[in-house]
Amino acid sequence: MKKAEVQFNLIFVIVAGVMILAFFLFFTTKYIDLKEKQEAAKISGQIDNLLLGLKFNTQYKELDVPNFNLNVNCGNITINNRFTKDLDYVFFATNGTSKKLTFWVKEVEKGFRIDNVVFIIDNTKKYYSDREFFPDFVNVNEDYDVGVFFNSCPNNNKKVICVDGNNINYNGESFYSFDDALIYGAAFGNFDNFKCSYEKLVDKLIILYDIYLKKNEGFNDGQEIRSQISTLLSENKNKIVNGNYDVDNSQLDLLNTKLSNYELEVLY
Amino acid sequence: MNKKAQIGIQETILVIFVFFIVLMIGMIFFFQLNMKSIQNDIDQYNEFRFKQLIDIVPNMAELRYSKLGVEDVYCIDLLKARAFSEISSEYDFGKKEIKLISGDEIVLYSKIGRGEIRKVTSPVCVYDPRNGKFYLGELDIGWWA
Amino acid sequence: MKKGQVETVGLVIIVILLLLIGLVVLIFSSRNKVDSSEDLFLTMKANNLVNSILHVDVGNSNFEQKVIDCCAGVDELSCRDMEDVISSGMALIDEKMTFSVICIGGELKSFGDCEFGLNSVRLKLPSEDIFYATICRK
Repeated sequence: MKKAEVQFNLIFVIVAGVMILAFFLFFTTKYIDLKEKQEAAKISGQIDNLLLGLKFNTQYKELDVPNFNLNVNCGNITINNRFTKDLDYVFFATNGTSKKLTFWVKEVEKGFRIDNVVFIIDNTKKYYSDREFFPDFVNVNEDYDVGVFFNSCPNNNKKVICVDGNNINYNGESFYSFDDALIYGAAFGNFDNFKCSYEKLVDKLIILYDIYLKKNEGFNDGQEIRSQISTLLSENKNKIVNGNYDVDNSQLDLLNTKLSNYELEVLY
Repeated sequence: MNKKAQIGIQETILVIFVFFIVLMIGMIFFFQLNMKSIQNDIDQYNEFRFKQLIDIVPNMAELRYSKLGVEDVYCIDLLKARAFSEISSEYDFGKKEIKLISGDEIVLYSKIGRGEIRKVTSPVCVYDPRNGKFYLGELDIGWWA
Repeated sequence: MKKGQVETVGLVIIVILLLLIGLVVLIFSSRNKVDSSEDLFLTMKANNLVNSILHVDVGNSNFEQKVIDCCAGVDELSCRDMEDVISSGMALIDEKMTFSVICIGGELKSFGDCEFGLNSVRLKLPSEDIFYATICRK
C-alpha cells in the first residue's frame, strides 16, 4: 500500500509538474510572440512619424532603429515577419535586414506633379554610378552592390541598372523613364516592388490626364488654345493607356505657358 | 506519525497548487491587458491616420492648386476637385466620406460604412480657376471606424 | 496548531495584498497616456488655417496685403477687413483660437480668445511682419 501511495504521489507530482511547465512554456512563447508584434508595430509607427516629418517636401531622414527585417510587397511592407503595414503612398524598397535605412521623398513629375514617392534606401549596401547621380546621403562606393550606368552596361553578377536615353533596363526588361525618380526607384527597389510602383505611377498619370481634361473643359472662355490642350491631353492619355509610355509633354507645357502669356488661367 | 506527515505533504501540495492557480490567473490577466494595450495603440494609430487626412488630401497632386508647375500656394483647385469627385471610386481611403465645402458642397470621396460616424473638419483654401479667386472653404472628413 | 493557522492566514493576507497592489499598478500603467497625436492634429488644423487664410481674396486685394497694410497703418479699413477674414476663418473651427500679427515695428495685434495653446507655423510676410495662430485644446 505504502509503495503504491508513494508511486501515486510521484506520478501525480510528475504530471502536475509537466502541466505547469507546459503552461509556462506556452505562456512564454505567446508572450514573446506578442512582444515581437508590439516591437514591429512600434517600428511601423516610427516609420510613419518619420514620413510625417518629411511630408510633402523633398527631404531625407535616417531611421534610428536597430536591426529589423523588412519584406517588401506590392503596396505594403512586413516588419520582422510579424506586422504587415499598408503604405498608401508609392514607394521603392528592397527586402533585407538592415541596420541603416534612409527615407527619401522625391517628386515625380511630367510637366505637372504626378506624385511624391518614397525611397527606402538600404545604406548598408554600396551604390555606384558612372556619372554624378546619387545624392550625398547615399553610400556611394566603386566596389558597388548596385550600379546605375548611363554610358555602358557592364555584365556581372551584381545588380546593374542600365539607362539608355529614356529607357531603364532592369532585369532584362525595359521601362520608359518619364522622370529621374524612376531610375532611383530601380536602384533602391527590388524588381517586383519596382514594377508594382511603376504601374501605380502610370495609373496615377492616367488619372491626372483625366482630371486635367475635365478641368480644361470647365473653362468657358472659348479659347482655341483650350481645345488644342484637350486634344493633346486625350492623345497622351490614350498613348499611355495603350502601353506606349513614351509621351512627350513638352507641347502641352508650351501651350500651358502660352495661356499664362495671354493672361488666361493656366491648366497646371 | 506517518499519517501526520502525509497530511502535511498533501497540505503543501495543495498550497502549491492554489498558488499556481492564482499565478496562472494573474498571467492570463496580464496577457489580456497587454493585448488590450496593443489594440489601443492600433486604434489610436488608425484614428491619427484618419485625422491626418486633413493634411494629406489638400496636398494630393489630383487636387492641389499649381501655377506653371509650381505649387507655392496651399490651396485646392476647385475644378480639379470636381473632376476628382467623378473618378474617386478608383481610390481607397477606407470607409470614409470626404467633402469639400466652399459655396457648393463637393463629395470628393464616399464609401459608406455602418454604425457611428466620426467627423473632423479643417479649413482649406479653395481656388476657383474660372474667376481666379481664392476663398476659404472647409474640408469635412467622416469615418466609419 | 492555532499559532500555525494564524501564521498561515497572515501569509495569505500578505499574498492577497500583494496581488491587489500589483493589480492597481497594472491598471494605472495601462491607462491612456497623454495623447500627443491630438496635439499634432490640432497643430495641423492651425497650420491649415494660417496657410489657407493668407491667400484669401478680399475685394481687389488679398488677406496677406491687408495684414501688411494694417501693420503699416495705411488705413483703418485694412485692419477691419483683416479682422473680418479672421472671424470667418475662426467660424470654421470648433476650438478657441487666437490670430496674432507681429508687425515689423514690434507691435502685436491679437484677435481671438485662446490664451495658452498650440502654435501654428509662423509665416513671415514680404514686409517682414509675422503672422501665426494659437489653437486651444478642447
